[in-house]
Amino acid sequence: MYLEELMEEYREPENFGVMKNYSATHKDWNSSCGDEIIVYLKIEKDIIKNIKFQGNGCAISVVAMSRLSQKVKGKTVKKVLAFNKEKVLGLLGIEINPMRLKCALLSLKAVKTAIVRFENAKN
Amino acid sequence: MRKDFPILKNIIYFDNAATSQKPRVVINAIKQFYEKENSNVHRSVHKLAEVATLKYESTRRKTSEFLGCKANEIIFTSGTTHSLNLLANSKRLELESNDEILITEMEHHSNIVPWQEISKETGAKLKFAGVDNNGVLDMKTFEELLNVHTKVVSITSMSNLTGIKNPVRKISELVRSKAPDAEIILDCAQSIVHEKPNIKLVDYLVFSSHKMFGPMGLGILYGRRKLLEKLNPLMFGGEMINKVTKKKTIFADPPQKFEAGTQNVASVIVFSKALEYLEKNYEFIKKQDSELLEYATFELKKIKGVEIFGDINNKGPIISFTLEGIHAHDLAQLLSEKNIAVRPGHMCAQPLVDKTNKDALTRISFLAYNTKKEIEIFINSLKEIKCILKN
Repeated sequence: MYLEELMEEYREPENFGVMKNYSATHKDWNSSCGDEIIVYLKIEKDIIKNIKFQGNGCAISVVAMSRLSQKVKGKTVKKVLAFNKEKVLGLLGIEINPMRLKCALLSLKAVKTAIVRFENAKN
Repeated sequence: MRKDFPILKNIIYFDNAATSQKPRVVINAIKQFYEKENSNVHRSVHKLAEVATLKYESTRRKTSEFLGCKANEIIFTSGTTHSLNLLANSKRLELESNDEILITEMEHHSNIVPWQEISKETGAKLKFAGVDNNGVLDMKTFEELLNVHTKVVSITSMSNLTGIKNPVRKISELVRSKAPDAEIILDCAQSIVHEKPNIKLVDYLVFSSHKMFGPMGLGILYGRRKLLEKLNPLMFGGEMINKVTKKKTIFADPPQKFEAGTQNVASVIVFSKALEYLEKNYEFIKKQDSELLEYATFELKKIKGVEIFGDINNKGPIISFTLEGIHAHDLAQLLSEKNIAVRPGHMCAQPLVDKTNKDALTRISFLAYNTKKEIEIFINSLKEIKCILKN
């Protein structure tokens, strides 16, 4: 059963919390189920130095965010913008049915949108 | 009843508020239509067209007999959403900035969003009558919001989130006395399979075939004849005309005025079978409704961590709840793995969910073909899931 594997991390996800002095932030949600995520990024010289997130959601969306947050730390924004669906599904490592894909990908959507907004503000 | 529904052999189906399953008489009628009767209606003069047209109009008559109105007061649409949009769109041309539209916090999005749009365009004020902590309409506020400027009162007869019914008779009396210019629209999408509405209390009434054993893609809009004559069509084109010249078009009389283009003929014709089936079983459905609701509520409340929203007496067989420590979506998926179909999320009623301080709920909704045995399996599955998650 998929949830057993995720539940522990669901209760105590990595990088959960607020960040002061963030470089970029974005709030996103999944209208079908009510998952909601706010991502904070600290970006220095095109590198993601730190990431935090807050929100409510199902196990899939929260654990995806938790694992993605660990993956993006120290990476360049360019590299993170190249992350795709397969990357997130790989991080989750369990089968995600089509009805839950939006939950799984909310984290990536939020992170990428935060980066794009940061980049746009720079230019 | 259960034996009439082939699909129920393989699943515990508790998502009846989303759509009902279909009895064999309906499934067979669809096959019969496409194998032996398929034709467009009203236009051609060949035999198939004649049979299809007769059956199509016969369903209109049966629907009117079911509701107790005239056949030409029944319009076929694609669903409740279409019906409500048709009504709202017509008001687009009538409402002004000092007019008011009154709905409630317990509406489905299909009875909120069209009015928000019309309010934006016309400047008419959209007002929401509130609900209490149980999700019950606050009649005092409702009454206070009625006045001579109220032009539309559009309400549900039964919440699709909680199953709570609205006191339609009382509402109708209040509207007639406090807001004499208001037209009353009753959304019966959720209630129609559980009890027959009283059209005398309202001006318009809308519902969908698919929630009452019929095929998808068909909605019914009842409107009082005098109002239908003034109502503006939403769609223009073939079949809704009396005469077309290059300069102008004279519309047909209702109901044809509102049925532009090729209609969902198969669904209309098959719908008569669904109506017959429903009428035959109404009494049994009512009896089962209260038994299943009572049993499920009682058993659910015994599980620690379960919180039911809208747990009141005398409501439709719908229960929305949360289970502590698990998100509704995860719970629904785990139940699905046990072959139990439930609905997680906000059930297209976000303003009502907002009242609960929950992000999402899990909804179980019954129809008379469900059994206590199924509820027992569901309750045991919930207990199992709770156990697994704790470890």
